[in-house]
Amino acid sequence: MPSNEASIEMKEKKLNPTIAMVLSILLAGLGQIYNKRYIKGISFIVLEIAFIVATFDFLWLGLWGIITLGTIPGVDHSIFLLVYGIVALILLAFAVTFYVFNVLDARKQAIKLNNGWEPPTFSQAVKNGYDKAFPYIMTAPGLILLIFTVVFPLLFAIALAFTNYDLYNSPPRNLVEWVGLSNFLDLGTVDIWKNTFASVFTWTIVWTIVATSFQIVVGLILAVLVNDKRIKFKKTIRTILILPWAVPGFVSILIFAAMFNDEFGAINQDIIIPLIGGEGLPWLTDPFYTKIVLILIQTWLGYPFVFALFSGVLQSISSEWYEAAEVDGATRWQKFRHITLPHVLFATAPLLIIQYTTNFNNFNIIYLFNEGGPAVQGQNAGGTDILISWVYKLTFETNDYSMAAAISLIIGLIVSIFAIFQFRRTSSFKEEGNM
Amino acid sequence: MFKNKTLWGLLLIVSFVLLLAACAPEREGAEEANGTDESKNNSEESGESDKPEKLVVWINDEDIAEDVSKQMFEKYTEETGIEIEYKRVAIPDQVQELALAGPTGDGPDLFFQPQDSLGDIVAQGLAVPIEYTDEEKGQFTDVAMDAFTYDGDIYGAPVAIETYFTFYNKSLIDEAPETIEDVFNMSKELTDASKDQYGFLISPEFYYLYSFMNAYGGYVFGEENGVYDPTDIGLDNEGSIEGLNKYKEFIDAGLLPKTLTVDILDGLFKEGKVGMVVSGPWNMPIYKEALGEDVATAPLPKMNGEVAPSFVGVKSWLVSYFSDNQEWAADLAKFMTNDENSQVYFDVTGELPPRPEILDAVNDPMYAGYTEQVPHGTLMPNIPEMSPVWDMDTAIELINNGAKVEEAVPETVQSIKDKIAASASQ
Amino acid sequence: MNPKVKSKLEVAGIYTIFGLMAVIIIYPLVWAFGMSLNPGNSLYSASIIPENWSLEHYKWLFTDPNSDYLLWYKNSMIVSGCAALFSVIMTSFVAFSFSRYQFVGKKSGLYTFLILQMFPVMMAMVALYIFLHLIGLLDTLTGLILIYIGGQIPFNAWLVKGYLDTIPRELDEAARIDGAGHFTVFVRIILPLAKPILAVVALFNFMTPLFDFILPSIILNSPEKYTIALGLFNFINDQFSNNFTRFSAGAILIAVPVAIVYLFLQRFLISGLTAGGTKG
Repeated sequence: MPSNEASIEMKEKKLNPTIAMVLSILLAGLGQIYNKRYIKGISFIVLEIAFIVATFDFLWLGLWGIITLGTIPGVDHSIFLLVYGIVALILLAFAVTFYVFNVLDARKQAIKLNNGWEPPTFSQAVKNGYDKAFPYIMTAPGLILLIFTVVFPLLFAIALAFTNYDLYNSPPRNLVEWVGLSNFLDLGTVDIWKNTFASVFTWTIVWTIVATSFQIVVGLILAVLVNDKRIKFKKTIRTILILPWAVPGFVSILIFAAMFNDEFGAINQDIIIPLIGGEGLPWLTDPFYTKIVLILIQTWLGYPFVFALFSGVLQSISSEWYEAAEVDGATRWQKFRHITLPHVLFATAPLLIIQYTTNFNNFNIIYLFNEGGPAVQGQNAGGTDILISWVYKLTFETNDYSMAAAISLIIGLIVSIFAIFQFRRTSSFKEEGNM
Repeated sequence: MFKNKTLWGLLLIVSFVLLLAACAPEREGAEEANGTDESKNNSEESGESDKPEKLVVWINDEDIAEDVSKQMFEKYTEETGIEIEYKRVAIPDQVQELALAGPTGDGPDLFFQPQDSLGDIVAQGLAVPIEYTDEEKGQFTDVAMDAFTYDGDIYGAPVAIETYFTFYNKSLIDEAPETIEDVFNMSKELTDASKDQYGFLISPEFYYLYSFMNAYGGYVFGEENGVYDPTDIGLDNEGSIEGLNKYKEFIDAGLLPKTLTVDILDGLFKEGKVGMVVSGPWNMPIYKEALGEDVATAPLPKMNGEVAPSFVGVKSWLVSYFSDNQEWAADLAKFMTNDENSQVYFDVTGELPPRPEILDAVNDPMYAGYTEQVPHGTLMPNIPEMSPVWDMDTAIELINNGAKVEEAVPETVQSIKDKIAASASQ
Repeated sequence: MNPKVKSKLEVAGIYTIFGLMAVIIIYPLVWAFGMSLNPGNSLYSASIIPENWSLEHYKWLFTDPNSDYLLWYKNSMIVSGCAALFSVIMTSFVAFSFSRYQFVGKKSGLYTFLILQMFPVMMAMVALYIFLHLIGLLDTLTGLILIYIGGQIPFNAWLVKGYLDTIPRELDEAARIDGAGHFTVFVRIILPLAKPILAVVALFNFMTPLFDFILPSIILNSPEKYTIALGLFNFINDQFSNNFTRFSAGAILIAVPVAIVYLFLQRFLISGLTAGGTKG
């Protein structure tokens, strides 16, 4: 890759960028020293040696661990080794990034020096460096945290999906092994997995679309109504309408679960039976009713966020729009349809998309309300289990870790493809550029 | 050029990977285990191992468990000088948490589990066997020892034997009805659902309803010489279905609420609104406090001519695989289950320890039902294949909601079989 | 129909809807409050207006030697407080960079992380557990706080960046000309103007840890380190000691102050969210 111009310049100038590059590949910092940037070079060397000394044993153990997942049952704990391996890979990725930077830096500076660039004084260099590095310095702590809280668990989950980690292949008694795609194949071929996956997936989609849309529609209607000029006590009304958001979600869900108890809950005892008679409705024992209740509760829990959002947007729509429309003799529906709706939806699209993806993975409500129940015949999950709550059961109740990981991956891919697709269509994303 | 480079890069990576895979890093304890293979047991070390400063014990997350354990820990510290640190962890969470915390060194030396989770524990290798002399074994009932025997090894120091039987309220019924048919008639007389008043309540869970199934010939796993055969499931045979149909008569007649839970059952019985309930020894002190002299116990009603069988569970202390002081942990476990401490356990909790000496000495009439029921019990299977069997709750839920026994049960059993087969094939 | 009458009818209709909503919103809350006043601990016999109401559950929470309620409350305040504070700092750092600077990864960095977060990683809690053990933060509030701070960055940074983009760049340029450095611009110009959205971020990140019980249940082993959500959840999760009335009492004691803060800050909430999430 050494370019022609570099070799031409070599004849006239003292520094050879290729040599600088090669040197810095051999040992980080050597290239910088060759460039006569001693302080920089030495600090790079010190950094590199420190990294190697401090992490060598761990990296070795981790990399060995992630490849073999252990060799002696009872001594090697496959899952710990897997985690070490992933941490080692992340550390290596940091090191490689630093290394690439070092190599490019050596080459770039050599070229610059050749072109007659005066190396700045130390304090000047620090200042320049600070200017250039400022956004990186600001984002670095966040990035590092993100890598360990978001990327690292994700890598672990991906890795698990390709192992056989379950009750019978579980340390300390046994080792876990890499098994390739067999979990995914089972999901498509073994009947009990296949059927369950199909039915859970269907309900997950229905749940996501219906519950979220309800939430948005109710939020929208209420926001428009409160915004009506003729309505007084707006502040009080808003405060009440926003109340469900202010109550801890898991508390509300558990309260609802108690209220909807078929035999002893307040809904059947105090409302349905006295008003309509009969024995009350089977809220928790018939999947159909449970599904309806779940959607209603999610609407109760979720509309205030949308309502708050829309209220803000509505207040910001200039009244000129409406006045102009009135002059044209537009009906109220037309005004809503052509002014309000586009404004509101256009402005809030990314947040609404996030509402959908959140509900797709809304574990709390499904699990806390009825633990995914009631039970239904012939499948591995409850009648109202969505993918995420099913994954929870597989993980914590039946120890089917690897299958849970495989399903999680599929869920993640579906949601992210949907989200990428939708984000790309929204205006705010277009301003950011491409993905 | 480019291709070549990629090739070299790949080669480099592959050789690095091979190198890595071949040269295992040094690990603690690797050599020791290499030599002795799988039998990593402290018995290989000769003599007593060094006395540790402290042992860590996980007890159940209940006040009463804390009260009783504390007394024993204090005595043990007095005798041996070993401090005991305990932590309350709910029984259902213990196995999961041990699997996580054990390898990091944050796990306990001793933990507490019923025998139906033994299969899972052994499959994961989380516990090590406890060595008993024949004399020591003789001090426990056979049932208790069997419950914690797995592949010929004994894994637990049995603390209590529990099963369910009936409690009845003497202010509502004079004595416990003898047969299930009598129960039905009694219940018909007493029940007035609109006033939350019931004659007979049993929680709709497989754990309890197994009595109905087993009484008429249903069984969980076929068994031969104490070895279970997970491919032979008898929960959908004729007897089992007949038994569940008996249960369904109660539902159909409106004598049992459809969404009963143990909480509701306990609450109603404590309020004196129920003639008779099926429950276990854990409720003895609680019911007594609420109803005083009115509460009495009896074995389960007769079904198919015999006292109905019940699931028997045994709760034990187990020694963690991850313990550095397995010998001393076993010593503590044995100490807590000796005669003296078993008596303490019985006095505080009211649960029966599986030691003949104590069982024979119990003469409180309140225990009549308990002690009479135990010989009629069937041990809960302790193999890991038991986990999917609890899906029978599904069938029961469906039956409660109106499904036919003949349809709901075979379907659920089929899916249990599928699950067992699916997990075995992996 | 006379338009005036029609309008009046409409207004009446709208008020009716609000009335109905109010009932639907308030009924469960009042019901929960009623539960907490019931003596005894099971749900079936409790009623919304108990015959012999008592404060025994509240008393138990505060005075019973077996109750760790105040400890949980304190832990939760520490976790939520730190999470809120450091989230605001970290998030505003990141958002400021994304809004004002060019650097590698600016284009799709935030979105990539937003998308990555959509992968459910429940089984990976095991990995977090082992990792925290590796760095010695297992069973500590610090470890818990760090995970909360990390996890919230993408969404909140995206919100704050949206808000910062609406602050005219001329302001920072003017300050630059006056000799202000990067950090000075950030602290003196940007932060004060971004107060509404930062309030939203603080609020979100105070609430999330306060009501999460899943992560603490994995990371915290010692009961004396439990957070309030975890402790409360254990009241009703325990198979053998389901205690809904006590749970209601504990939940109300945390829900009421939170709700008051929420309602108090709703003005910020609406304006901040709107500006941050929509960019005008």
